[in-house]
Amino acid sequence: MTGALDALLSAPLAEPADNGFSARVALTILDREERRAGWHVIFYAIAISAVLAVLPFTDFAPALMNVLSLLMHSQPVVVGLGVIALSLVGYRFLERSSLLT
Amino acid sequence: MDDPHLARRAASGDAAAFDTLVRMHQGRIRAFLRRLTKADAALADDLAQETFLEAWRKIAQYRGEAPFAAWLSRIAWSRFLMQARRRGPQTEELDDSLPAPIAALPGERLDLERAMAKLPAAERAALTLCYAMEFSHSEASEIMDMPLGTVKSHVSRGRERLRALLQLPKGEAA
Repeated sequence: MTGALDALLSAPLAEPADNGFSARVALTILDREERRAGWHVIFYAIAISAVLAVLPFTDFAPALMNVLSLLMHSQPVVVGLGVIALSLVGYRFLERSSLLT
Repeated sequence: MDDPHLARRAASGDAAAFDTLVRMHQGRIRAFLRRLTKADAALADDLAQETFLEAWRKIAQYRGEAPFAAWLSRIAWSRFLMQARRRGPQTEELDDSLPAPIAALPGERLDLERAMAKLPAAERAALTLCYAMEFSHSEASEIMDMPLGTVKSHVSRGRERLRALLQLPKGEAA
């Protein structure tokens, strides 16, 4: 009877079908990594802003503002930034779609 | 590609390598957790998801000394214990009813699952690891973070209880 009990105990566990489980794990990891990356960006932005706030920019602040203003009014620069933003959205969509297939 | 190689790639940030590991091991880990949670599939899947998320966070700590399945099972067992502590002692109440997927098993397997559900969690885990998942006693002691002798006691006591619950004659056993 030991044989019967051993045979019962040794039978492999009935493994459930994946049914999207792996994709859900991958998506959750992706979400968490994106959130983590977002926090990093916020942290660096605050750190850089703090450094910039204490630096003596009185001499070239007007020049810097002038360059930024020129860039924001340049059509090629605005179109380029738009293309980059759309590419990022498209890449994110494709990345998520590939995880679900 | 083998588990340690995939784990090294995952540790360097390769999410696709980790996804491959999840796909390879999810069935075993979810089945192990279903056994531990007495076939509560939803709870088992939640714990399995937490297990893989913790594995992703700690993947750099996996050195490849033990099988990857053992490393994952250790996380799964600790996740199960954490939720059991959160839920309190009612999780270990005896319960004759089992969810439908288990109730659909053939007779002997159904009897085994019913009997298993009446064992304490540590005995359930030790028996499952050492028999169905084919880990050695030593690996099971690593997974359960218990001394080897304690694991052997759980296996032995669990077998005795199962034999009694399944009404198998003692003389023919052992």
